[in-house]
Amino acid sequence: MRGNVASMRRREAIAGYLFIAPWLIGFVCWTAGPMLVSLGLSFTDWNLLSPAHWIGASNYVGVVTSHVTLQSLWDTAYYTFTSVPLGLCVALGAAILLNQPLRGTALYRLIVYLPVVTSGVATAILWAWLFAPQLGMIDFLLQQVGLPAIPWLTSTTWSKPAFVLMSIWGVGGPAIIFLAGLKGIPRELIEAALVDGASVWARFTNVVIPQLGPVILLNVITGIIGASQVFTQAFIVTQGGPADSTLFYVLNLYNNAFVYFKMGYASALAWVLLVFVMLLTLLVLYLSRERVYYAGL
Amino acid sequence: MDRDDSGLQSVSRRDLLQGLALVAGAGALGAILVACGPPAAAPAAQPTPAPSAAKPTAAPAAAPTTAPAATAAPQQQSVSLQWSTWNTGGLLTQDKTFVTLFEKANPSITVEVNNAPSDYSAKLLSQAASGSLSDVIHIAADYYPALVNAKVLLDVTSYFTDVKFDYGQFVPFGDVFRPGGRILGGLEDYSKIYPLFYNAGMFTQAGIPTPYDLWQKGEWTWDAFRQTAKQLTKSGVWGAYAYNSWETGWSPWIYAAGATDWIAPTANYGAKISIDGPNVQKATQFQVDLIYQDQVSAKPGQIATVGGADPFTAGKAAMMTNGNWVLADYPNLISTRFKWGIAPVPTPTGKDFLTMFNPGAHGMVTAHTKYPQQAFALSQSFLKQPVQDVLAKAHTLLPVLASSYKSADFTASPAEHIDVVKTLASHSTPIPTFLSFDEVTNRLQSDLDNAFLGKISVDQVLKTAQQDAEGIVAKQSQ
Amino acid sequence: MQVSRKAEGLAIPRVRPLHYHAFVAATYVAMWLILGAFLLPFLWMVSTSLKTLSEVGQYPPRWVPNPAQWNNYAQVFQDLPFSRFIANSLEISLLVVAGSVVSSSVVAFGFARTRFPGRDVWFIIMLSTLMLPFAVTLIPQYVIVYRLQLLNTYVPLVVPSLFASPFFVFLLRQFMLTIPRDLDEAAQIDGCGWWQIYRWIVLPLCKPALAAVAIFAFVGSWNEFLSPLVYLNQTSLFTVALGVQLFSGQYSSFYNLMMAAALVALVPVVVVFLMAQRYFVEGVVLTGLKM
Repeated sequence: MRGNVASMRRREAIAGYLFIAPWLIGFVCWTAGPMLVSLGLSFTDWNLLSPAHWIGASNYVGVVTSHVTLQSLWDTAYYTFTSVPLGLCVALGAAILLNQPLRGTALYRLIVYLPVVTSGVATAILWAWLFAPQLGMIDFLLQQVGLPAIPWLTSTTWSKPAFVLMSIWGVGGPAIIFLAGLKGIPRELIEAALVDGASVWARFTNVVIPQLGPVILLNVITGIIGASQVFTQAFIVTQGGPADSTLFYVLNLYNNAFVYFKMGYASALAWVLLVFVMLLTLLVLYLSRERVYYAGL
Repeated sequence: MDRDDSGLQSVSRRDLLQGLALVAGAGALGAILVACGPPAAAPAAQPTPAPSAAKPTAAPAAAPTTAPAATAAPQQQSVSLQWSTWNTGGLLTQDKTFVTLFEKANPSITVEVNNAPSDYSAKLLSQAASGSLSDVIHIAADYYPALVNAKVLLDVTSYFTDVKFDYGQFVPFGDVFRPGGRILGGLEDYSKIYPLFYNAGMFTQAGIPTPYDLWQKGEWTWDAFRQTAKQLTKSGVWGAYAYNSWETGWSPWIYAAGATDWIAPTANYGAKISIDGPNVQKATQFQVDLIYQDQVSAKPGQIATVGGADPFTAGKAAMMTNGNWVLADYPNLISTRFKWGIAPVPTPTGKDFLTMFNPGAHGMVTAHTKYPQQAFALSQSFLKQPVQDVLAKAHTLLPVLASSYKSADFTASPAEHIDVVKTLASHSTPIPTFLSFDEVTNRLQSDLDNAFLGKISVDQVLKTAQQDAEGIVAKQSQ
Repeated sequence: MQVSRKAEGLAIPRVRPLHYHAFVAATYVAMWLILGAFLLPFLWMVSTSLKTLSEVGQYPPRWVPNPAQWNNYAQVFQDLPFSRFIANSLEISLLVVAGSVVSSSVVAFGFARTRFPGRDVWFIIMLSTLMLPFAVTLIPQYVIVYRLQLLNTYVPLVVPSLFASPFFVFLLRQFMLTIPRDLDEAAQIDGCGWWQIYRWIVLPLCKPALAAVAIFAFVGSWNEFLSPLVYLNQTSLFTVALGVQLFSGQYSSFYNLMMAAALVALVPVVVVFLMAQRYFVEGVVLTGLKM
């Protein structure tokens, strides 16, 4: 054995740190540093052009008392808690279908995944047209089957559901991950269930879902993180309207930072969002502790 | 020798504390890095009024109509200028024509057009903050105060004196771009007004007098408007279109009602807000009633309003207010489907017509341009003949050069258009500009949504809008 | 499709029962319905891209434009320097792919193969940054870039990929954990240093996962909208995502051209996806994807 164990360990430790150095440097300079700076900024009043000055917790008070921000919290919560469950159900269904040995499955995967890779801007505009009154496909189709037209993007009741529907189109991302998860289920388990005479539904609930546990968790968490930050569609299609019904949290943040140049207030908004998302994620992780089966982490 | 690190080892408390310490240390390091970065590229330098002594008396590369400054332009080396504009579509084509005209007259200068259609004002300010503004920028009055505050416009007062600018050739300039008597950046070379457009074909078909006719007879009142709209409303087609875009849909009626003080700018780009004043109330109620009471206008969301397909151009609304710049795209959007006309927005009494005018300047010189001479030349070119005539002919933007109104191009337009335009131009009041203009109008827009959706009463909405606006102005940072 | 088997000894029937065919048929139908729903918006995009502007606004909406304006596609390139945008996006995306693949694999190797004090703590911290809303760091990052006078350059768009995205590191780490250690232990005995183990032993075995990372990185960068919007000012530097948006202005928009532009923007991504599609799913599968 060359050298002694201690110096080998030290060489390994140094090597280890060198290997993760790219991430570490980025974390310090590009993530942790900015996080702390934004925390500091949230206690100031700064418009990027004149020096910042300290105003204490005034921004945070502003956040909780501003009816605009509270509205944006509601809009985002509604969107998140509707689009994530719905989207994941559709994604799982699509993944199950894609998992079947059908012909042309590669093409099907492409079609399902294509919306995910389409430019966000064009997608937003596309949906603005699809939801448009009179000219839009969706109302046209609704009327073909005898249903009344819905004023989607100009109604405070229907604007958020419209966004939820838009998000379903992009379900290809989680679907592919579910697909990978499905392919990773050991055959023996399915076959054992079959030998026991389990029905399709029983197989589904007793074998597939538990095996997909970690994947479901992953998709739920990334889904929540993504949905709480919805921005592009609202920015392009509705600009937050009508009557702030689609003024999602990050859109409000963007306006305050880059349109009104209230950087301090925007930083406070960002930190409030972070706290919310972290709490939500911890809650999800806690609730899943007993239920998710890790077959050898 | 099977090392079992196929996964996370359990995290002990010591590890956790270690971790927190690491994060805090990393963060502190990062924070120090950010705070002590290289000094900001000084964007807040005072706008330097270029000492006139340094400028040769030969006028900077002049535009074609002035005495041919065949004087070998002092700067012979070719210079490239950056020019920013937000226009797209027909107006962008127009902009590019201006550039071509300028480049032809000034062969030693090339102009690169920087286009940023959305978020133009935000872009402008972030460029200003980073010192990367174009040499010349196209701006509207909305964010002029913010630019002045950021000190990014060149004080060109002395330039104007040096070229002996002849104010007499122009319609009177407002003071929007002359804060404190100094000319910062340049002067407006066009203004936008807000007329009423009507579908002439529908009027002919119905055999009733057009808004223009009624206006000529002095009968263009709000009641007449209502009556006319009622006569034209049939299945699938509406007589009017009341919509809540604050600038093109709502404000024309506010001004028609005489509420010019809804925002009154005060010193230092502050403002006194009176959004809940009686005239504003009357005008907003009038519009909301058109939708819900008189039912001569579609509700929001009943007619497609995605982009170019607004109800008027789609042939679904007989009358609609809008900014006069939309004319640039009418040939594309309407083509030959129907004939259209313009008229002033009616007033309650049929008299005292008034519109807001929104001056714009194609060529504002920025403070940090490396080529102030050439930039100023570009800026001036927008005020001169070829450009002004193009504006006059297209009717998209109102020119400021008096002779353009008399030019053949302008007079070749339908007589009604000239009448209306001239009247509106002379009965107009400038857009109120102040620092938090964007935020206030954004808030106002959202509040108005509720009124136009019929969900909340008009006076409640205006009260909220008033409170919101006052709150924003109060927090304006200097 | 699993054919039900009884206990051993019985032959598998050759003729499949009726409910099997019905099931397969139902599956195809469901598949086509879903695909139809996914495809419909695309068909509308194609239809719009071939219309004139006044046709776009007509009611009732027509599927087949008449006549089809194929020159819209040419006009996209005439009205805007669209080929420049594509070139810009390609440049940025390829750099991002290179940066991501290299940095994520290096960092993943560090986490997967080497031991050092605090390793697991750092790993947890790294994973938790996944839940960081980008909004928290956007503004200070903007300030850093502005202070370094790097606004209006590609640096803020490319350099962060060199910092190893946690998602890619996680993917690669999981994959590397499934590679048996015998090889690197043998190499160590022969005197190989850590870098050599990484470069010559582990890395070559990671190709499927690396392909997956490359695709994700390419697609992510190609469609990135917010960063270019915030950091780029000069039109000649714009990316495709921004370029598509240039067709819509504040007061008027050329929707037909925009849809054409968006479809053109899709082409490179579709090509990449089709070429490496196998790796896409299988690469993710091979990580085991057990959290």
